[in-house]
Amino acid sequence: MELETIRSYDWGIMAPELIILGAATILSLADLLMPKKASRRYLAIFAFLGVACALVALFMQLDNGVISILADTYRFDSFSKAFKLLFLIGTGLILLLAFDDRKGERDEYRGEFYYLLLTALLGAMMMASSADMITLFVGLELLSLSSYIMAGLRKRDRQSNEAAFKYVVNGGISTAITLFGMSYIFGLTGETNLYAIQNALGDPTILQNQFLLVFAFLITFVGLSFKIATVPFQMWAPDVYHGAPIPVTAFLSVVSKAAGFVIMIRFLLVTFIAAPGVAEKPLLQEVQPYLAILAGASMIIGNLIALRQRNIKRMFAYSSIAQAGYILVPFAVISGLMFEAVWFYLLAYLFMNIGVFAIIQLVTAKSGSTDISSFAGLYRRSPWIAVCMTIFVLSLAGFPATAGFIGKFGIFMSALSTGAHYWLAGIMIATTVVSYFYYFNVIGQMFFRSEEEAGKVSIPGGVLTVTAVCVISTLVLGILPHTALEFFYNQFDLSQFFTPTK
Amino acid sequence: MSSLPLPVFLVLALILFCIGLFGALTKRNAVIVLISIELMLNAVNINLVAFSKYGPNPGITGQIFSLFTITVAAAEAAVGLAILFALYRNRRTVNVNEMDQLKR
Amino acid sequence: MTGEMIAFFILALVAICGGVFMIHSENVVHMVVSLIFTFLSIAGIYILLSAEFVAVVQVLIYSGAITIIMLFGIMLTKHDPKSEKRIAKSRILAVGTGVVAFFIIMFLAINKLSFKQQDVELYVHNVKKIGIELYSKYVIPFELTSILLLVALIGAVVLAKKDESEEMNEHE
Repeated sequence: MELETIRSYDWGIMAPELIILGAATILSLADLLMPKKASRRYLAIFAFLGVACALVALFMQLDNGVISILADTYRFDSFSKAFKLLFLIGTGLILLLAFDDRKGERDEYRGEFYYLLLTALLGAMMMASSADMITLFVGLELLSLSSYIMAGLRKRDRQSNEAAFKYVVNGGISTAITLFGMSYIFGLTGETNLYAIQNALGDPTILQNQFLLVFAFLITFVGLSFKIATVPFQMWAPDVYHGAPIPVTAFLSVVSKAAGFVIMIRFLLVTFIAAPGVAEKPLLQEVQPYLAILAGASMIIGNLIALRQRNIKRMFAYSSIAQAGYILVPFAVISGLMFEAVWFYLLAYLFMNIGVFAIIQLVTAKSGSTDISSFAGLYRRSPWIAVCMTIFVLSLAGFPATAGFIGKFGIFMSALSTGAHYWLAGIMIATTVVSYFYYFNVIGQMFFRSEEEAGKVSIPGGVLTVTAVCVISTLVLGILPHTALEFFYNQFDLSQFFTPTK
Repeated sequence: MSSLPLPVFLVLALILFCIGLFGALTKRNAVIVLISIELMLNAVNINLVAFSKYGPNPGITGQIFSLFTITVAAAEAAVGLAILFALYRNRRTVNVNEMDQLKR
Repeated sequence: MTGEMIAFFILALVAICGGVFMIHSENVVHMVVSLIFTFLSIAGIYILLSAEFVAVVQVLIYSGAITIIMLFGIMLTKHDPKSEKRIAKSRILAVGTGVVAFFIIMFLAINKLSFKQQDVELYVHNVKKIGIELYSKYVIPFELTSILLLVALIGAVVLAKKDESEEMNEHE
């Protein structure tokens, strides 16, 4: 390859990633050079500014068409910008949350936390904007590795250590399984570019090996389901969410999970769209029942076990397994509505879940325990916080006039639109009803229990901003959903996603 | 050209992958669990390298993919072991079954 | 039987025996040492597959670096040799059945696999070919890997380092 060709690429399109990388580098140097005793807290502001700059850079690029660098190892298209937006907003909110994490004040590893968060974000962004198997894999691992370290950063906390270790072991096994599936997909086609794979899988000669192809799909899917924490790789989530510091938990349950969906959609849909299955049907149609079973199992297991939880972090961990099960529904039924349903639900989920964790952080820092009883009588102590929490919880439960309702409605419609998936829609409704019990338990604690400890919960500035943004977004998306959807329709072009760059 | 068919290599990789998976799920010693995962990743590499020679579109790409895998695996092993040290310092055990602080 | 076949079967046998011995052994150090044989014979297999560079990297990284840090991991932590024995039989049985089922399914899928043999001379200028691809087409994942290694380095140092305050506590 000549230098001229390399120069001819539009490298400026990587600006958001490069800004994040630059911010992470500067932070790591600053952390190294700062005096030992100095507070690292204000590095969060710098990291936040980095994320904001990247967001601005991304907004300035929105009008571009498909831009591909070096055989799609970096690819800017409507899919990547739609999801990079989610990652950046989510990480920005989490940085504000981390800024006010009282528990971490004594921690000497705050500086590391901020730039690891940025490298994790970088990994997620690369996962959204690449159409090459190797880059996708390295991005996935950058995200995973940074998350393992973040989960274990609170070194003297036994729960944090244990959470990190369980995370690393489960993550390692899932990486190996994903790669095993990827190696067969690579083997059957001899390509790493997703569009070249798509092309090769559409070729009739693949028909003699279609049995292996189906298994390659399923193995890869199972491996990737680790990141989104659904059945069969859901068992790590409660332990890790429970043991990790709250900003990390919020990151894992929102940004990392969204990144998991992104790689799943990008990798599996693009490569397998034209692949033949074992019988007459195309492969994607043939595996639908299995994916639907996994989605159904996640909803059932997540919601049922959440009923028994007394620990608030564990409860929301199981709730997030169930939520991931809901988002898997459009993926399992694959209809034209899929992208908007997944994107909108992830957006809504981002705001409501970060909001929930912001308030959990406030309340548990005050009471020093993560038991659900620390919410008792919150309404009498701090009515505003209780009202905000109620809005988030109602939204998670899918009540009308909240973002969660619109999101769930979209998923529900996509499940019905293809027909033959009524039972999946049925499971979704039934488990949603089950979820009311534990969500209302939280509300009940706040409004109808007498307080165990007196004292108002005060809100520091960072958490206040996060809560306000999340409440407003949850309500706006719930009452005026077309604001977000219109943006999505304007920006998102399905044909860009499935067709290779010329 | 060659007397060895492709499936021979793939079956070897599959056997090693299964041994690694079994070890990772049943062994109690945390270090052994980590090294079992490395064995699984090695099996993946055999697949990749074998496909890069005997696959439908032979070329150097498979070997490059395996180099990336090896690098990532090494990084993962280092981080896993570091987390294990932090845990050991607090708990004085590397037995996976004794890690039950988070079970209620 | 050609020489290539004999070499393959010896290497494969050593690799699998190493793995099986790892599963069966009760001594942790023996487990790791048995895996060195597996890693070395896998390097041999890479040479059979005309991937010399990957074979050298395999020897350096796996048989060298990873086994050594794993041995360090064992030396620096305390191991109770008896604890290995008390694994619930039911769990082993369940996992074993699952793994065997997985093996049989995949074996059936793989067994039929065949492609038209194509002549490529991967062993000619192997390193040069890898270098050219790596620094042109795959330069973005390559740079991303450098960030990943940096993250792993920082993470490993931060997590494994002994804190000063902790040391003070121990001196008291």
